[in-house]
Amino acid sequence: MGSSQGWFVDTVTDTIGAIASPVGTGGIAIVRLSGADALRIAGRMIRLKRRGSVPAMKSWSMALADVLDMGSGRVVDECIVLAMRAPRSYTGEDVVEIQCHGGVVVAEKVLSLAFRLGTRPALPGEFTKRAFINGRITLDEAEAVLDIVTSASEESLFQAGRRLKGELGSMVEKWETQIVDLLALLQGSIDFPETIEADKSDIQDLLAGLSHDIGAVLERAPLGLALSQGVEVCLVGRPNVGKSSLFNALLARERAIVTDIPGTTRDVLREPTEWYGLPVALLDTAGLRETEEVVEALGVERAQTAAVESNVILYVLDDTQGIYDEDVQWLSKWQNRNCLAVVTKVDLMKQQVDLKLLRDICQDRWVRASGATGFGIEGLKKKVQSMFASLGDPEALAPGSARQVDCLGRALGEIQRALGYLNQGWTDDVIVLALEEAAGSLMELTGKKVSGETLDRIFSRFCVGK
Amino acid sequence: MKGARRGLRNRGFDFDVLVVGSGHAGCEAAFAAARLNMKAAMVTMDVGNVAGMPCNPAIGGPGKAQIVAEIDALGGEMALATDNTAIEMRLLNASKGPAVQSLRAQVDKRAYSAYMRRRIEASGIKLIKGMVTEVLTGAGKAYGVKLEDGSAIRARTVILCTGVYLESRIVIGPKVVESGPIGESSARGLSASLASLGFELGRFKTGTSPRILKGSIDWDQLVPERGADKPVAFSFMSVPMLRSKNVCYSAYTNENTHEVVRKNIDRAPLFDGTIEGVGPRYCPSIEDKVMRFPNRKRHQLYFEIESEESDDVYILGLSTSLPEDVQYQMIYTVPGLTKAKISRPGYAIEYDYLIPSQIHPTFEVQGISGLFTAGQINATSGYEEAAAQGLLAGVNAAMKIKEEEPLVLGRKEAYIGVLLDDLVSTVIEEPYRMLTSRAEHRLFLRHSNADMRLTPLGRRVGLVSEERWQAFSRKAEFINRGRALLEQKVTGGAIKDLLRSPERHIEDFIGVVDGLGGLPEEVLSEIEIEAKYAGFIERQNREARRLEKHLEKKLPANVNWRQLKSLSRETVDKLVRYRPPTIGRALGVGVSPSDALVILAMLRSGKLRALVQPERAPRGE
Repeated sequence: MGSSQGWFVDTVTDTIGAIASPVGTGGIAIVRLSGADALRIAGRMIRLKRRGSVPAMKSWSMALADVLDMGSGRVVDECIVLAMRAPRSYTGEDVVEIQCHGGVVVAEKVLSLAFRLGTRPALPGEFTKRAFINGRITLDEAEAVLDIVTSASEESLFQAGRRLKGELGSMVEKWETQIVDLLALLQGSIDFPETIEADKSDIQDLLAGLSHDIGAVLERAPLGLALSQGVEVCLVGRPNVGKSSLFNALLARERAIVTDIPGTTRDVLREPTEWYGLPVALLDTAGLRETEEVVEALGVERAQTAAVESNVILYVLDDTQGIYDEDVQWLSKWQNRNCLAVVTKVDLMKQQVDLKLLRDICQDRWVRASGATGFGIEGLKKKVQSMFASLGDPEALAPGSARQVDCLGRALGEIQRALGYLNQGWTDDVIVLALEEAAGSLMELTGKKVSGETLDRIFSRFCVGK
Repeated sequence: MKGARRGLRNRGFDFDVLVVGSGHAGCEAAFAAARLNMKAAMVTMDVGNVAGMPCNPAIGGPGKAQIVAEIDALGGEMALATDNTAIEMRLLNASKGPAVQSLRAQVDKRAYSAYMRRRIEASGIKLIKGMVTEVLTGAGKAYGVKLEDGSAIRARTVILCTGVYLESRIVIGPKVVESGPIGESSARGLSASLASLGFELGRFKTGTSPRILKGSIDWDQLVPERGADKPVAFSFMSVPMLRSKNVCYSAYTNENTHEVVRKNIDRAPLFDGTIEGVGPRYCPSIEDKVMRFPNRKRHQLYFEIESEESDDVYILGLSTSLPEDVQYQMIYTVPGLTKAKISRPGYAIEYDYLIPSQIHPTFEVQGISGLFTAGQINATSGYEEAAAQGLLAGVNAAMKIKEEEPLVLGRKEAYIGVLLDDLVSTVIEEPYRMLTSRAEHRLFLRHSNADMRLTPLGRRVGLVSEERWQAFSRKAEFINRGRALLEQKVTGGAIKDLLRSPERHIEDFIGVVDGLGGLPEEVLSEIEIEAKYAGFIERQNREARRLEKHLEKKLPANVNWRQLKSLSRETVDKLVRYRPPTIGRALGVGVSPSDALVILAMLRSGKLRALVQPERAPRGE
């Protein structure tokens, strides 16, 4: 393969970037840029401590440097830059790796700076794809990676969808509706010129408003929010099965009040922690049971909501009590989520939990542990951590929130482009193109298709046809 | 007819290509086959009804006009027929940008039919009267058709262009008649034949408006609609002409019209459950419009004179299946129509169609070799959409016989490619009509450059006549000369870059650059559009540009793409469906550039050859 190296190098021109280190809040996170412009882009955002610049660095050399925010001129982080020139790099292209000291949150910020300078977010597995295309790795090697990435990318899509709930989600949907309405009007008047007449007087104001709103959200959007908040892990189970002592043991501190009285935990407790590099938000909840007591009932309801909305459910079973019918019901209900059964109080050696039954319900997704002695606690943490590490190629997962920012950023850019076209006197066919791209960028977040949505809107809003 | 009687025993074929149906799809299919030197025949229930227009007497409109131009660029007949029989043409969307400007012609429908009839005779296509009741197949291959009278016609390939006739029924109020449009017979038996071959059929509904007699209209009360004020033509081979004869007039419905509809809505077959088929959203009946948009005070109506030889006037905007007496009451409410006489009431028609995910992009059906379908049988609507499919089906039937590479168009190449791709790869929920909004590359897919896009392709296949090729080559040379002139630098930069501003026009440079003034007007206009849109089209194509050098690289046939895990599922689906012979065609059918790069690398590493598999066994038998 070596002889044909470089066969494609000239054909891949754009520069891609992603966080290349595994998910987590570890001390160092690596941002990788690859492509023809990688050195130049890095040069514009990085000032070497000594002398020289990134584009002038020798291949396979490193340097201590500051990452600068071009907007404010502030130093974002002190970092180590590693430059590798084509073809001697992982991808076979010019590669810059930036080791950020501040962990993932800072890395997200660094990555967003690179995006602003013309880097495109790497698609899942794209570094590997390029390595293969450029003859750096064999097909077997590439497929091994890409295989994992394909499944991982579905997971990250799912997560991207999750994050869009709440205020931001409804705002994005509102913007999308406004743009699609506009598209329906302009496209509709092109496709049905005899029946739809576009009143274009409001378009300028509408686009300016959209541009302002999206811009404001982009400014507010705290980078890497989701990752810095951590993966939500939720402890649930019947009352008094030992959730709270497990909670304390997993945090390695007394946070929850532990009593023998069922129903002690009323509200959802939330504590940040870190398990083997994975940032975690651990949730303790009220025991699941029918209750007349108003405050406790509210707690039970919140517990269920928390479980359903979390990334991982830890369903706690009491080894001194065994598996109840309701346990079976809950476990079956949640078995398609990331649900792990935890058998607690195993130090008491009662062995009331029927492990055969448990295997039937959960297969291998269960562990034994004791909050009191600490038995199995580290194993449990590792197991949860591995659920995320096993998602594979970190480049598929890490830039999740930066990707979201990127979608909004592109939508904003296209709206401003459309505004520009409108002011310059371009015809509708051109303005429509920019609006379609804007809608497309937003729909990457909502999972719809521009043309279908536009047509539906045309037919629902206008009376067209012969 | 002698051939048709030879019977099943005879091992010889009567025809190479047998087209069933004489509508717009059938005509283009037969013409294409004949142009490729196939012995072609057309079976139809009514030999007097060739290329008929059961709906409005018009060709073109947004998206559709581009299709007509593409048919023309590929050597088809529709544009020439339109130019020859048009009584008025309008340029729609003139102010909305050159890409979406669309011609719409009102034609003399009788003259149009007669023109096509003459062309059929001149092309040596045999016209046979008969109702086809069955497709004859054996060993997974079609070898002819059986007619109602029990006789058989044997052919190497069969193209079904049956329009809305499959098990059709017409509904006018309480009257339900098992019939095709305009009192013709419905095609019986063929649906069952297709179903027995394992095909899944669906049922659609469409409709048309009443025709009224020319002499019964008070024309002074209607508003005349002006045609285009400059010479225009659909075909690249026609001389543009000024055609504005005031043959189209408009008026509006009013509250009284709507009141008639509302009062009689319980007698509307669309609302009382008589009609079950799904109708098109872009072509709602007046009862639909009134009920769905109760706040609209009026709906526009257009009156189109159908033919100089006929007294019928088509009312665009008044499609209905209300009972005839209600149709009269409605019409009387419109000023100018108070004494109007209906010559033919509006009606709804229900018919069977083949769910088009069962066809290949060549319009050959899956599982039966040599059987093709084109037109409304494939869930589309419109004369233009039908004709385009007919053309490709005719070409590919011929290619099949010649054992040559089929002609498949991609979304980036032609509106016809968009049509094709949407039909075979999406779920079609209503009769499919082309719209510019469906074509994401619409800035490039213009009427004005259809010849530059497709004529070389048509020439390669053998569809393009010497005369057309000569004309094309002359124009192409002018265009190249013009492009070179636009490279010249003047104050402010190269002309082609200056033209990217919407305020600059090529006329501004005619005095400045020698030779520009000598170019034909359509060439000047075309190179200006090219320059103007270059930036936008580049933006859309930036990904694909990286692959430019590798477009002609051949892909092995019969690769088992499903074994490749590193390609997206969407890409694998396209590769399996379209079997692109080259990287360029793979991009054409919608494979993403990044996946195309992976495919290239696999090609280089020899992996693709290792995945070549033997051809799969055909359906059934």
